[in-house]
Amino acid sequence: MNRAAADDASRRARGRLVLLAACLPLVLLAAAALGAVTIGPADLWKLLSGSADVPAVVRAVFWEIRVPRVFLAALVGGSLALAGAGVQGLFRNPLADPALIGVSAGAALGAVLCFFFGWEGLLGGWLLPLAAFAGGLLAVLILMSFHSGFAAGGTAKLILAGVALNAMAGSVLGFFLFSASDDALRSMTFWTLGSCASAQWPQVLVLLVFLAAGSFILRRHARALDALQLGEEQAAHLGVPVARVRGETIAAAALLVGAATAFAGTIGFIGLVAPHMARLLLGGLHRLVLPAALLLGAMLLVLADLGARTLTAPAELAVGILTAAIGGPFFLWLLRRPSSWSV
Amino acid sequence: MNNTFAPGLVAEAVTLTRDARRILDGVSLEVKPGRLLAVIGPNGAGKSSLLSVLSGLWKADRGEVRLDGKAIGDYGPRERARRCAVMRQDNLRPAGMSVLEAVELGRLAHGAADDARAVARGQLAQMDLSDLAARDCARLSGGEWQRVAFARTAAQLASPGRGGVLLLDEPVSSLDPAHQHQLLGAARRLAAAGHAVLAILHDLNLTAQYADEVALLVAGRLTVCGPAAQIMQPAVLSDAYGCRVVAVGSADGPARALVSLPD
Amino acid sequence: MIRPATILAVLLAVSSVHAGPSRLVTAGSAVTEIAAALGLAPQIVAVDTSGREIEGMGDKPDVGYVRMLGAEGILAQKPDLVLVSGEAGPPPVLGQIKSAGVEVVVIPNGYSLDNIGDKIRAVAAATGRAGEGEKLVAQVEADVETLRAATADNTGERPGVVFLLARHGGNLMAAGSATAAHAMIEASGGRNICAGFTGYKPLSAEIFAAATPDFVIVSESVGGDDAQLLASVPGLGATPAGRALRVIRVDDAAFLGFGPRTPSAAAEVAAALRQP
Repeated sequence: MNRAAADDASRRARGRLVLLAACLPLVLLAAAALGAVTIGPADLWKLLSGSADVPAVVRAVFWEIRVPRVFLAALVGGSLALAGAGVQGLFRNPLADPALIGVSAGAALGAVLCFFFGWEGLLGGWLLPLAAFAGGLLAVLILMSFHSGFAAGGTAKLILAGVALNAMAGSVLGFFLFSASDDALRSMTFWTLGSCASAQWPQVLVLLVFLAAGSFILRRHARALDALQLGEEQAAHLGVPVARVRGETIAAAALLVGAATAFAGTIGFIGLVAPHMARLLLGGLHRLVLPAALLLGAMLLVLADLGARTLTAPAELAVGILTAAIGGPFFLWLLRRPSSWSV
Repeated sequence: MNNTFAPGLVAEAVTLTRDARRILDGVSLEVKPGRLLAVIGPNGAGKSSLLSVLSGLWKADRGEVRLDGKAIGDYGPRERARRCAVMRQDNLRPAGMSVLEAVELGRLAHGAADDARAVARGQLAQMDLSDLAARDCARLSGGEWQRVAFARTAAQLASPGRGGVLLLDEPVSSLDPAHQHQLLGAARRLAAAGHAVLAILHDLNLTAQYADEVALLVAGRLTVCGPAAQIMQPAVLSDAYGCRVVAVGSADGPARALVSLPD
Repeated sequence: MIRPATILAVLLAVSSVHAGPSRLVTAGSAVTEIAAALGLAPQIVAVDTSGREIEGMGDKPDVGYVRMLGAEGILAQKPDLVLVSGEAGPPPVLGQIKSAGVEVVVIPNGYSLDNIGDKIRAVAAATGRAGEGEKLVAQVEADVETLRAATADNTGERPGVVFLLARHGGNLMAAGSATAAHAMIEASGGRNICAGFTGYKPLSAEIFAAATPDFVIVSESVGGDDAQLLASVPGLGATPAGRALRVIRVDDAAFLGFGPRTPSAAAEVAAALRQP
């Protein structure tokens, strides 16, 4: 009887993952169908089937603006959520956010420096994402220098170092914001609100590569992340190379968040909220939580971005406002729930 | 130094210093296949630290720990985990995981061909926990979770044809008397099946009933080590704990019990 | 083989360039203002948020903040020309609009009265209204001359001025150097007492430690009467100097936009500054 119950539970969790995976194409299609430029079902079908019988402007709007944007939102949301799931699992802390390891603050610093010196248009506009990515990576490299192999309290030390790094980056950021010209200040503020409006196909491809790499690394450590929920020492007794798992998980999260932030600015809450949704739906096993968080994060940001470009059309809303509008209430509800985490 | 092959776990003159405080001082002991060694001693004597060094988690400053004849530091984490299973005192509960899934974690170091689910189910049945298999770990009582942790630790060693080392840190601290006997009985059976078992215990009577050998650790030193019957004597224990321990009942009958009294 | 329909389409396209755009989206307040002044108001189908402040533009669809435009929102207005100021962006969005086959013309920013003519000519050239453009340029240049003549006879100490900008939640910011406000204070014959720092900075009592202004310039949109305004300025409201202060209120878009109305806005301020 209980043998059946345990099997039922895992079958149900796998079923839900399949359901989530099936939802993603529907959400992508819906987001691609909706927008300021009206595309009817007939035209949508023609566009998807490659028919030439569609006005050139509509074709350009669909294939060069809307579809890359939907994909960018999905990849950014998926990357942030996957990184969040990895970091939360690693730190065994439901409040851990990829921002905790300093990568977002570092990326913001890189971008703000770009704006400060007026370099955001250099290298055909690629210097800005490069600077953001480099800033994020640098922050994590500094953090990892505090990662002195496996020792008791190693994770707590990393979190504290992350807090200090964030505070330092924040103060440097504040200094540049204070000294910036009015023009640069407005651009910086805009960047920190996050947006998928600048989506182009090359960025989509770059992000896809990063998401694939991050997924590969984290998927390999899914079992180790499960074991880490018993505590780092117990995980080590079970055969987990804790120091390596910790280093590679943080590196993967840094790559994912760095790339996502580079192209879409800082977008909050997805990395915190999507992994929680995944756990609520599928339980605690990371081989399910990681892909589910990726799918949920992708769908959340695609929907938030859909709102950003349609709610006040033809004007754009900052997507950060909408992710917070979805994420905020969920977070409060999470705080009210009797916690199943024993921190 | 004696480097001849000895199955089980051997510690030779292990010394550990942390923050200028000597925690272990020249501890030598042997956890032998087929035997259950109990480590007892007052609070703060260094018992849990000893377990961390024996399991290879901490490196001793001096001395050596050998697992199946090879220095424990020379094992990779997975190979070590297949030979030596540890049940810690501070077992945290995995959020959102079922009991069955938590026990399957014991098989983490075993290869992809391993049927973790079958092993986990077997161990849960051994501990009379099959009814809880689908329960969320967060919804277990403290005692239930301790039994689940033992089942997971036992699952880690369940490899046919080879004896492993089992290190248990206060495995019965949350259990009622019936389940204390259930768990220690299971530990005894594992020893009888060829595993080398070490258990840190506090209950003197359980120690006397289940241990083959007893090591008494006081202030980081192994004061005495030997057959249980020899060490579980009121005089030795009174001296070690600094309080009066007396034996009640006949000196050699099964009804004999050790009772501690205020000075 | 060339089909008649193709020829017709080419002819239509050519004629539409010569006749100027039939559907125009503008972003940036000076650009919108110039386009409207050139008589293009009926052709403007959408403006950015700042453009809606301009007379006659209030009911046009709003394509959002000039730095945060969306390609699809603009293309949904089916424009044949998108005219934006230098700060418009993000840059990839302008590229997306171009890739959909719609012409995008960027009119460079310039915080100098002498640049206004260039902006007008650029807008006029892009919209095929060179004649109207030259007329407007002549008018603006005349206004600038009037302003220069009025401020040329200023002798002695120029009055100290601080420009206050209202930001979120009523927080006041003071304009330092390298701002449009700084350029306008100087052009109006004033002396920006905040020239020691660049950009806009939150107002604090320390700003007035070194120099006390004779005039405060604020936007018309800032609420409250002069006394309330001065009372809310730290380090100023309570002092005798503060009570003697005079407040000049200006139309933000005209005063800071460096568009066609800017020279006359400067002339008004110059007149106010010369009153004893």
